[in-house]
Amino acid sequence: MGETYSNTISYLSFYLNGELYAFKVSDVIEVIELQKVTLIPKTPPHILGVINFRGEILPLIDVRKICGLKTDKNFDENQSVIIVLETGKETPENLLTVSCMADAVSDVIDVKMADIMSIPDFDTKIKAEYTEGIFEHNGDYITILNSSAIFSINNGKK
Amino acid sequence: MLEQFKQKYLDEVNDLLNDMEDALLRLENNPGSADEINQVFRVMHTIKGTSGMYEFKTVEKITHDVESIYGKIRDNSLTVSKEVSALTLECIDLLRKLLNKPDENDDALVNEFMAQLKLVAPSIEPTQKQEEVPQKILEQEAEGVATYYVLFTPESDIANRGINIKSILGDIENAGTGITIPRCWKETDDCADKYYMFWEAVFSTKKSYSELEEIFLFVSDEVKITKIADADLFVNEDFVAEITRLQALDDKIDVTGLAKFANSLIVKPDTKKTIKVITEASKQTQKETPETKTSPKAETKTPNQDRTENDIALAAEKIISKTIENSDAKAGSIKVESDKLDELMNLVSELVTVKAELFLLSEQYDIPPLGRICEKVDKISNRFKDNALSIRLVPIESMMLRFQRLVRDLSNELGKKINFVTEGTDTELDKTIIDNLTVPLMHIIRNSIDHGIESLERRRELKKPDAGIIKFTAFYSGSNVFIQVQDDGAGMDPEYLRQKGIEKGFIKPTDRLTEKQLYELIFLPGFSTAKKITGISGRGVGMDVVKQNIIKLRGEIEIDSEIDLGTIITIKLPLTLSIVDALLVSVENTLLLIPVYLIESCSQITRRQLAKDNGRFIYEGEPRTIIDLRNELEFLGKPPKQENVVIVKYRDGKVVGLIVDKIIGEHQAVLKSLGKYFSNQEYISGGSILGDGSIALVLDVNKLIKQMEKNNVTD
Repeated sequence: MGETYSNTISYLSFYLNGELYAFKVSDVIEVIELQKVTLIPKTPPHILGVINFRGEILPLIDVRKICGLKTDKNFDENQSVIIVLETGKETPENLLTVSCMADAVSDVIDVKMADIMSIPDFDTKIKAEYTEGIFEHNGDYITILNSSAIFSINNGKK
Repeated sequence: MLEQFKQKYLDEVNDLLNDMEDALLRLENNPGSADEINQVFRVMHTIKGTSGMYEFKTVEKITHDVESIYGKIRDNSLTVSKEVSALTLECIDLLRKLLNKPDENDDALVNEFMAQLKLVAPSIEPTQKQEEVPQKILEQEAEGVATYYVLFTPESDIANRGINIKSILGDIENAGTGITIPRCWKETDDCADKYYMFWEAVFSTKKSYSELEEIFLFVSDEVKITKIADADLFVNEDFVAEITRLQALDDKIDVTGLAKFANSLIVKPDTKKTIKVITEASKQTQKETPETKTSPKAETKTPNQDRTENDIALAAEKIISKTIENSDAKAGSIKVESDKLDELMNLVSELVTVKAELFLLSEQYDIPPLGRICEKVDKISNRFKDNALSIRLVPIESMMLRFQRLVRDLSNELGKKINFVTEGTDTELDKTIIDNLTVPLMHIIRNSIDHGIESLERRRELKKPDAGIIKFTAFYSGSNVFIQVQDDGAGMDPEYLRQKGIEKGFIKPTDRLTEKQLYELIFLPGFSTAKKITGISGRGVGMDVVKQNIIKLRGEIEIDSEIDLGTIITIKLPLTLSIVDALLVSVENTLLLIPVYLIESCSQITRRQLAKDNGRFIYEGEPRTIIDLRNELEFLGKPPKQENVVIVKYRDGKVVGLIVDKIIGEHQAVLKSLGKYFSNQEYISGGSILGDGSIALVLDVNKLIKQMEKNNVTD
């Protein structure tokens, strides 16, 4: 969408543990309400299960667990939303439709490429390989997440 | 764009080659059968024609030569000897290779093939010749048909502009039915910028003038189209004679004169008298007017020159009747991309899901009219489902050709005589299953030929008939299809298998195994039974792969054998892979599906009872192993007081009990993959969406049991 103007990119920002993160809007298919999650036995903890997304069975991933963020004890799971994404578009064999939990979605923000800052080489908050940069919006700093890295199947194999 | 056409061309050629292979194998059993010879001829001709368009020069060359041979066979000046048919089969293989997997060795292969071809038929002419005159035989309805004259005068730089003259000529040939005449410029002509040849064509077609213009859009400056008359002039003998006369002349056709002549014909009442074969008429007139051939250039050779008129007429008649027959036969079926069928199946699956949803609704609200509609929807969707499934079904016949070829080639190579008998090849199976079944079956048949059927000497020793029999049988039974490959060969020696098993460390000398279990050994990876390794089989890979493939198709494979009497290999397969009848059960609120075909029975059980029976379940008077799905699948939470046990069978009719919380009922599960994320999931093979939108997981019972067995060994 926003990518047609080469110097701006649209991001969807959302909350995890009260902090703001963002995925590229072009990767997001839909944001849906929390729905019944079917547990899959014997899977790693970051896979919460599967959901029925319009007749398609999609894995539901907990981004917090992958990125090593602690789960906020205060958050109410029933208030959560599910973001459905399509990742790995660069290579057809990696194309994957997945869904992940977020506490709430915030906004769609057009960001100028020049305004995106890089994350410090090592970050105590989140592994650098899962991020693509950081930008400032209305006084908040929003971390851009690299969906391809986060949802790569190898994460599922661990 | 071109790539797309090329793919179509390749598909078509592959189909044609299959037809031809089939015809050849029939021809071997019935040498001299005109239908089959014609078919080979036709296939070669068609491939030759299209290959030229797509620049498959070698293919064109080969097909031309083979076509010539079959032309001769058709005229009875050559007979179908063993060498010829072997060579033709080789030709099919070679063409397949050239088209599908070309590499740098191809030239050598082609040369070798051509050399062999020369040995068989030394009289055939070398291939390098001028554009042959395409002489098409076709009948056409007169409505909307017009006759055109097309003059194609390429510029000398045509090749530099990336235009292939041949493809233009192909376009002309395809534009209608008629004749193309290659010409050379005369010294007196103004042809400084022209290519050294030009072409004239007269043909009748249903296409409009503008449609023709569109065809030659890229060479519009070099192609001149003139309409001669608003009728199919080729049905008129006089016109054909005139064209043939003009063809033989060295001069360019005078279009205005021709048009005048044509129009004078049209007013005659008898124009649409008969459909005439151009080749025949042209032959006659060519003979009648030999003096008109002033220049040798005009004497364009036709491949049929050495045939008598009668032969041509006969052959032509046959071709016509055959084409009509063929088009009739093909009218009943259409080709559909398999992607579209997959899409249809997906839609049907969704319909089945929605139907379940509707039923749920009707149960909730209990509105009588809704109930009636539900019943109707149920009926229709069931029929729709069956119908859609049947579209995907392909008769096993479609694989037989390859097996027949395999038996023929391999038995020749090994010097064994084998009768390949088939039965029930009209049995139909899902296309996906057929596709995945060919390789395993090839392997089984190969084994039967190589290891099963004994050598000729050995067979005589045993007073068996010289020719061994391999019998391929397919039949339905319930919702399954059974395929059997039976040979009357040496059979398998259980004692030999035992020795081998011990030698290779698969079993211990102290193990007591039944015959069946000993046969099962050959399915283990690395277990080769061949006493002598041949190039064909016995490298120890194979039977294990066969078994894996069959299991992947949710099938089973079984061996039965008797020394010196033969071996029967039986494969049991489901009719389709996408819908399975399953029992819906729940464990800790998670819904699980267990395929019905595995289930022996269900009953209730309590933990107390279980403890009393030493952690086992008594079924049919015997204690059975119990798998507690709650533990095994690592579900947290307390089990309910009353639990259920589902008795499922696995290998060799053995059973185990699976403990679940609740049994909900039968469900027609439309299988869906869980996606790549769960491709290494151990116990769940897929999911299915229920009427209320929730997801049930399909339990992979075989994997579960296998895993349990493994754990038992390591414990």
